[in-house]
Amino acid sequence: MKLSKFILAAMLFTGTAMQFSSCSDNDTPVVYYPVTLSITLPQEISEANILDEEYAFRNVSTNQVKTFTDKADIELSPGLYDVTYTAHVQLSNGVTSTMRAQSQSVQIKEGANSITLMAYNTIESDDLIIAEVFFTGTTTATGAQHRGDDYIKLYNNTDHVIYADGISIFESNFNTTAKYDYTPDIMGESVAVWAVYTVPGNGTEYPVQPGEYFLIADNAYDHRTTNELSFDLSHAKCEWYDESQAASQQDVDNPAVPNMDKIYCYTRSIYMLANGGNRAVGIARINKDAETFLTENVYDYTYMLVTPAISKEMTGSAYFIPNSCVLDVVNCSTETGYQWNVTSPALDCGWTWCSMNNSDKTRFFTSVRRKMLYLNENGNPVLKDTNNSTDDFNSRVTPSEIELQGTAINADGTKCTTRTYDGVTPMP
Amino acid sequence: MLKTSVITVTLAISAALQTTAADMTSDSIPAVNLRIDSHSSMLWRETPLSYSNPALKQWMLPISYSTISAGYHSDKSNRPVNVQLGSGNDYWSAGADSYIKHRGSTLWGNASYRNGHIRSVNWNESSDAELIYPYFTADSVGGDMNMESYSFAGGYAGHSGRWAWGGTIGYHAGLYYRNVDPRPRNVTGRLDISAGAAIRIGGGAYYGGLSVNYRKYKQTCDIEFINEMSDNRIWHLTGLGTHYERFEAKGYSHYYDGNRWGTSIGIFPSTRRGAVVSAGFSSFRFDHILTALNKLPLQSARENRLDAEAGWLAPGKTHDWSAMVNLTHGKRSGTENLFGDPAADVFPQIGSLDMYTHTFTAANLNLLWQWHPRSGYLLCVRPSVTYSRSRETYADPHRHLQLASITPAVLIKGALGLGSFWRGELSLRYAMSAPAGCDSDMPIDNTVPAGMQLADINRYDILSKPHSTVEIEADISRAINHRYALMLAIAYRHGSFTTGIQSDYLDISLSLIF
Repeated sequence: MKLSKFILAAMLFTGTAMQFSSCSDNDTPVVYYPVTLSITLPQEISEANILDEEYAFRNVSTNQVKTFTDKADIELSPGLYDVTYTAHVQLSNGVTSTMRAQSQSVQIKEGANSITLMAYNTIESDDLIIAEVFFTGTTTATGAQHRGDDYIKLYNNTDHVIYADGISIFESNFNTTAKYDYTPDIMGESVAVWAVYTVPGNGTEYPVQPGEYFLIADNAYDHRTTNELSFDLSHAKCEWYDESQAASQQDVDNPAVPNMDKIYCYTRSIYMLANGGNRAVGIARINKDAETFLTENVYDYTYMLVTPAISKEMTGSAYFIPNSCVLDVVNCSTETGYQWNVTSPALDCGWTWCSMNNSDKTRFFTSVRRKMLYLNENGNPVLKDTNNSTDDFNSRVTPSEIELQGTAINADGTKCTTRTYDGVTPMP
Repeated sequence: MLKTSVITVTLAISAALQTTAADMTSDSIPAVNLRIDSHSSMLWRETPLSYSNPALKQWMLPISYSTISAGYHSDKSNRPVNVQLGSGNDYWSAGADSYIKHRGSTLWGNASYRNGHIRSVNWNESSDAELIYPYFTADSVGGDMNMESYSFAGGYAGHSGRWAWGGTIGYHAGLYYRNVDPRPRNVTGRLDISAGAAIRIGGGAYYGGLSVNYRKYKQTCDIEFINEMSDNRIWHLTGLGTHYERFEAKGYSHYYDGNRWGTSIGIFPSTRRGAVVSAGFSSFRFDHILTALNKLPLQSARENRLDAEAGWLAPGKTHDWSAMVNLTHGKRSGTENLFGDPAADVFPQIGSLDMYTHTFTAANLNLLWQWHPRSGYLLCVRPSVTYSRSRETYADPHRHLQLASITPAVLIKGALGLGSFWRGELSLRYAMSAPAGCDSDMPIDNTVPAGMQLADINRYDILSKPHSTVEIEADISRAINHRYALMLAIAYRHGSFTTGIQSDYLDISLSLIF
């Protein structure tokens, strides 16, 4: 072979290799694809005047959020998104209202995309709201979980007295860390629940003054008698009590604190809030007696269980509470395991958390607390309530009862020395 | 392994000493010193790309040269330049390296073992960072990491008539782990195979060579946290301070699986005097897979790379000259896969996006002058200048980091025979790197841990400013007889960055040369 031919071959090789390794260092171009978004308005406000609207797209992979105020501008890179639509509308009677729509795990592909969302007029209730959910509980000094000191704290965020009589607490039947397509899908109209307990009373027995809290405990006794790291819940307004059918798991009843009326619970032993925090917790006024509720509000559903090995249709049964009865709800999940909201966006567009994952042992001694906006002229906190738990709640903060009583904040027994309105904002 | 190495070295030394008296005359220069002289020459080190063709490697050295050595290495800086690589390492090592001429054939091989630590690695719990970047798995704690590595390689080359041929095979295995939380355990394996051929061209004055090579790479990683009360989350990084939010705290077991193929072509003077031209292209691709999520293919990257060298070699009786230009250009593209809603931890893949790009270029001019008036004497001056440019980009949210520098350097090396048996060598090198077009756009994202973002921001801050390196190497050898010699070598390097970082490198080794 001639040397000149070899040099020519070497030059051709180099040129070809340069093509492969791309001489230019142009930045990776991001390709955005147009998204056509249609909002189906609820019938009652289809004629309303939309004052402003916002479209928020959260990229599930990266957690990046892109917002648009004009749907004609929406362009996104391919991926999986959670879409939230928020609009302020003026009704024909002059009242302004907030309208929301939400869809999770929406896939944006290359090319044109179209999304249709069903909007809901935000359910606003002039009633108590959830101020705090302490579902994680405490532990003993050895790290073992203590039982029964979980609680829900309600709050009167209004300027008038509200009676807690007849308010039911509930926990969702579905799990925020495991998403399935349940059939029939009733989420637009109702919440599927697996535990419902109602505050007793004749309608005026449990007044809650403006700026006052209403504490509902699992076991309303002084837990320091059984766990030095816990706190006193004997001042709770009421407690939920279960007549357990399991001899080894009996509930504790404090006769000095009224028991709630048990409407339904999935377990035949004792009920505690899901201490990993992977369900929605809410309050409602069902306005039905237990017997009627259990007869009329049955929800049977099916879903497909898909694993690497099998694909099988599963069935389940729960009860439902109509969204119109729900006063407030907070979707709880784990920080890294969240998959979806198990209630309608009309009730809650966000979620909050205490536990980083399903096995997080650092979750104990923490709660979710509603954020304080300001103190009103009476010195009462005004709490944030936009029906978006992500925005409305402080995640994984010190529970209010631990702050008030100065008890332990961890298994080491470290005493709490701070006091806050909402787990973050310090009291003067 | 250490014990075996020590025994081997001891036996070799004692055997050599026993033959000393019989073999040597006091006024002759031992043959082993002549081979050390030849090995000490800088000329053969100027064309590494050409010698990556196994068929041409038989002309790398005109002599046989083998070593058995043990040593200690320490590299430490007061603050890491890149926290994901750590602030240095220290290890002891033992190994053997051999290059043997036998009639028309050349054989070479090496085996080595290292045991030590990598210091203060943060925001990266994966190993072999230079291979699998930017797809590290990270936690916020990090720390020192223990390491052990083994490598074995062997090659053969021969020639007959117009043709030359050769082949190599090598395997490198590594184990990286930590005995406190977080506890990564990374096992790496790298198999390299190459084969080449060359034919005389240009009337026999040159060899035209062609080679192909293949690499199989795998790294399996497991991260464990014993303390359940600690913050035990991990992140799967996607480059330039970004991460895969959706898989945060998932995928504690994962692996990297890669393949590289490459080819090179070049001409090399059959007399080692004349023009040298060589170009090599390689393409490396790897997948990052989360074992714990039913082998979820999270990310993949491909790197295409071109290396080229061209120049002139002019060995002489007492003076050697060379002028070489080296060029490296490559592009690494990272792809993130997109997944739909999972069912029982099975995530269906719904697409992929090219998000990360790293383009790198380096051009280097080396001039070499060597003077070797007689055996045992060498004076060498090697000035050089290097331009390098590295640009990393992340598509969305957009961020980029560009580092470019010009680095003039000079190396001066001298060797001196001290009587018939002793031989000493000293080299000094100084390099000063000046920035030449650095640019970055790395906005802080409050939803991402600050430390994760600062890793790249700090790296840019350090490397976008001037830095210098001064290096001194000294070795002294004594021939035991004509076949064997002992060599003690010490190398020290000091790096200084304008941001206040000082790094010190020390390498000490004792070798038996034969």
